[in-house]
Amino acid sequence: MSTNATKKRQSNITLVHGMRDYSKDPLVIEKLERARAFIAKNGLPKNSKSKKGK
Amino acid sequence: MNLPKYQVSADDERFLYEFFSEGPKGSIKKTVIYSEIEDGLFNLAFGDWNDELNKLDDSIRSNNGDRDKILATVASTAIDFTDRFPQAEIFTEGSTPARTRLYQIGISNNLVEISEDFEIQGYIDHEWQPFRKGINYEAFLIQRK
Repeated sequence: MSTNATKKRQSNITLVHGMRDYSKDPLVIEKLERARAFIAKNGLPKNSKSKKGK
Repeated sequence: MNLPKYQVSADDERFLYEFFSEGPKGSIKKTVIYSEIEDGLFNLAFGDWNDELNKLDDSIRSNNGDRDKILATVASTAIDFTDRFPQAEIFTEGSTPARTRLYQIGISNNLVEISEDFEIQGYIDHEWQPFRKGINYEAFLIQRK
């Protein structure tokens, strides 16, 4: 895809400075831990690039 | 994807996105956060910002009449995120089976458009398989084509 097409398609995204850091929010951490537990238990698809691909 | 979507603010690193759902229930701040599970693998967390509690909440059904627009907006963040990290794989599951089913419906309703950009797999019956409509998956893995 051309750069112009990419810019046009993503025109609804604006980069901003100083956004609130949600990464330490309890919900985000809880979901991250749940995801890790799910993947540890069930793995990932065979074609996954991750080391946990089955 | 040319579906209607909201304007989104993203942080410089492209891990955090926020936008406002507009509808009968008012203006509701929505957030999408990509957190690294391991190298190249990210979890997508989605929730509403609760000003009173000063934290994110994904237990509320806002019923703002704009579900498809919200899902298209979330998909646009995934496109932007994978523009920044083309090799990234995105894992997501709902906080409840009902919420996961909502994601499944959203993907199904926009499958043609989403499939232009992404390969989607769903987990069900102890295995990952290519996403198909009408199946209640437990989780999803999204990769850029």
